[in-house]
Amino acid sequence: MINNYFSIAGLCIGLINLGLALLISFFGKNKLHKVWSYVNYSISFWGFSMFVSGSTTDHDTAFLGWKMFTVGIILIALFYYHVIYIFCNLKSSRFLIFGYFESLVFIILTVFTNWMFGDRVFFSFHQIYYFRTNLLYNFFMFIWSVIVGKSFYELYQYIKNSKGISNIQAKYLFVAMIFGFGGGMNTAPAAWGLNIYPYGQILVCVYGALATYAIFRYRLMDVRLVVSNTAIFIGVYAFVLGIPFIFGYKYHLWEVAIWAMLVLATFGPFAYLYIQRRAEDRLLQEQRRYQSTLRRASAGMGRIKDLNKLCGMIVYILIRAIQIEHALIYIYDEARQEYVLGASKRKSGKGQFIDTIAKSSPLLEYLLNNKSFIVYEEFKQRALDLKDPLLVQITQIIASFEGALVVPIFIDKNLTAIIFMGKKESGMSYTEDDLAVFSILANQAALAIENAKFYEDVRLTHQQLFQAEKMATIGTMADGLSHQINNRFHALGFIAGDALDTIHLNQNEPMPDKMKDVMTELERAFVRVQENVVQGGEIVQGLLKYTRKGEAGFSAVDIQSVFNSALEMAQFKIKSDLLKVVHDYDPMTIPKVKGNFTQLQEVFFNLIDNSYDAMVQRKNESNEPDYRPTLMVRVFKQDGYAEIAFEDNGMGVKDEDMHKLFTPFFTTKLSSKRGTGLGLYVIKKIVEENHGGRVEMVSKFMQGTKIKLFLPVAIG
Amino acid sequence: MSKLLIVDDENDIREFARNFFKKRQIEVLVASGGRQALDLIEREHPDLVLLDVKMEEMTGIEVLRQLRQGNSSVKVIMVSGVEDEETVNEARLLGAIDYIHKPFILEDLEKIVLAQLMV
Repeated sequence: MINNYFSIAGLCIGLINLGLALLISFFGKNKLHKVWSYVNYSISFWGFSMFVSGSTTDHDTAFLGWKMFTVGIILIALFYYHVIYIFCNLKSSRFLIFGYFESLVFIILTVFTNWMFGDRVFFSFHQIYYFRTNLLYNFFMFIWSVIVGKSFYELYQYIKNSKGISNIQAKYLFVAMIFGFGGGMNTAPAAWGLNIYPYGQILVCVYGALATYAIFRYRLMDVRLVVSNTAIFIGVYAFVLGIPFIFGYKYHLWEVAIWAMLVLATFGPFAYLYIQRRAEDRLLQEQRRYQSTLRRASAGMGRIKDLNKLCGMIVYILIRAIQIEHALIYIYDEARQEYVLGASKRKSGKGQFIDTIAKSSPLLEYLLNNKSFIVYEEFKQRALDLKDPLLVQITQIIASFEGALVVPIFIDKNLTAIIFMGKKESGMSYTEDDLAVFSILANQAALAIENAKFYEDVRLTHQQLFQAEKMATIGTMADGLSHQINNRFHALGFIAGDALDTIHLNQNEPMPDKMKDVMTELERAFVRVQENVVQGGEIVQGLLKYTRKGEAGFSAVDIQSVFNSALEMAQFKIKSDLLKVVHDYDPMTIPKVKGNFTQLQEVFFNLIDNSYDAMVQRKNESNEPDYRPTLMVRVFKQDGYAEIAFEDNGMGVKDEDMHKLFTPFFTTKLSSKRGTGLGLYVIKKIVEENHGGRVEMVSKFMQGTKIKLFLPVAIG
Repeated sequence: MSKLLIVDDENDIREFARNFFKKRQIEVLVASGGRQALDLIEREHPDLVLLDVKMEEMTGIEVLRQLRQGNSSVKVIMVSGVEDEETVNEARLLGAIDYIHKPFILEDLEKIVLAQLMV
């Protein structure tokens, strides 16, 4: 009798576990994996042993099979305990050493003597030559149970005291052990002479698969799901294959039964998928709920234009929807070249997070290179496995944010923002499904952040332009006002002066003493008026100087005057010995341009300032001893336009940056004295939109920059 | 007797300046705008003109330019509230002998005017 359930199941166990063992040996990375592969080799060996003893009619062969069987169970328990020893980080190795010693002894006894076995095998269940245990074998079984029991116990303790991913792995192992040892123990009653067929031994297959999955898959599915899926799978196939089997067994209609099995087995996967989906829906109800909240919230994010509000909202949604302990988001700030805390929120507890993350942080570099989420527990495990100091460092960085999950947000290749998410309050880990939803959230957030940043830029630019125009208007107004005030002071001065003069001329005329006193008093009063006139005039002059001749609107503006006053504005910053300004024109012959003095002054000032910075940068960086910063200003008249060319021999601009120069907030200046990045943008606006002129630019890196302004010549 | 022409669109300035210089035996003519000033200069040939730059009808610079175009070589002192290099340059190019800034006090003006009239 070769084809019996016992031997076929044994063969299955042998093959499946051999496959697993080879896989693990091949992909395994650390000692745990190595020992785990030994467990599987042992199980495989054990499975084959049952095939040998179950399928033979020869006593000696069956006897050999049972010896293999015994060696198998010795090794399974031993290596299993070793796995637990490594996995749970057990301190004392005494028991492990004892285990190895004990195993060695029993293996020797099994292989070289027949002491542990009775002297024969018994034909049982009408199909198998089954062995019987004797006293020594029962003693061995006792010690074996102690080892297995201790493994269960240690794992149970570990489950109680651990958290996160290793906790879930431990739960897998535990469940797997129940299946495995539960299945394996089915072979025992018959060996004690009890008439119980070892049907359950096939469960050992499930055990291998489960435990291997647990050890290898870092990012785990929910453990409840695996258990329920396995149960459903077994249930469905027990039904699909079992009913026809019983039918065939009972009525001896094997042909009908086999056809029924085939048909039902075809429907099996559908039934399995259906039931599995329903079960998942129930189990994951909560998760699905917050995932749909997140999806809806993601869609609404794009409408928020304020970056701070947006950050606050992202953090709030995450905490509320997923029920996590805390969340924080860092946004890249171009001007500061670092990541700035956009919002952070804790559901409970205290503790601040740092305000900025430097661009050079190893975590950021890792995210930039890998572009994927980081699940902390998984990452930490990998860092420990690989013993890579960089990964360990990154682990510590993530730990400082108490992050259980790090979600990078990319726009193109740029890491725009980083979200750190704390642990779920439920203690569950982040699942694959979660990550899929978060990647939608991350994409939406990226768009929303980009959007908000754009609005912010536009707002700032408008503000800046508005401010410039306001200043020009105030200048114009102040100019008109101060003329008026000045004239009033002037008239007052004349009135007082003339009155004073009259007093002086008549002082010596004969008059009563009282009148003389009055005259003296009046004289003093008029002198005071005159003094006040002079002081008031000075104040007005100061005001005029400040507003710099904002001629009402547009007028004929002298280029040389504009240049001089712009240079004066720049004086506070420019060390004149560092800069040689060359005029290549005659101030008396150059045309006047039609323009607003204040605005043109702003333009000239920005150009001088940019050139100066570019030249200082070249001087400091280039190491050219003969370098002499020179700003050359030329003016030509051409077709009703004055062409004003500012040519410096500074750093110049790299080709790849050229097209960005006129966009707001772009700057090539060094970070230490970075500008607002508005300079060229404002220049272009003022010259082209306000003056109907044109700006042209030529620049060569490390040679210099030439900017030409074309402004309409004033008529008359 | 020397003749002084005061050109200003401010009534108070004209009145009190006239009062002041009259007391110094100077004949004072006043004009409230550019046209009137050009007219008076042509008819009365004043020895000195105090010419305000910023006036409604016609600027002082314009008046000065027309004078020079009409070949008048009358001495002109520009009076202005603004320190405006452009205008100052132009006035100098057009041969104004001085450029004084408002506000100033009459005693200072007296010194400048007397100095010019004595020459």
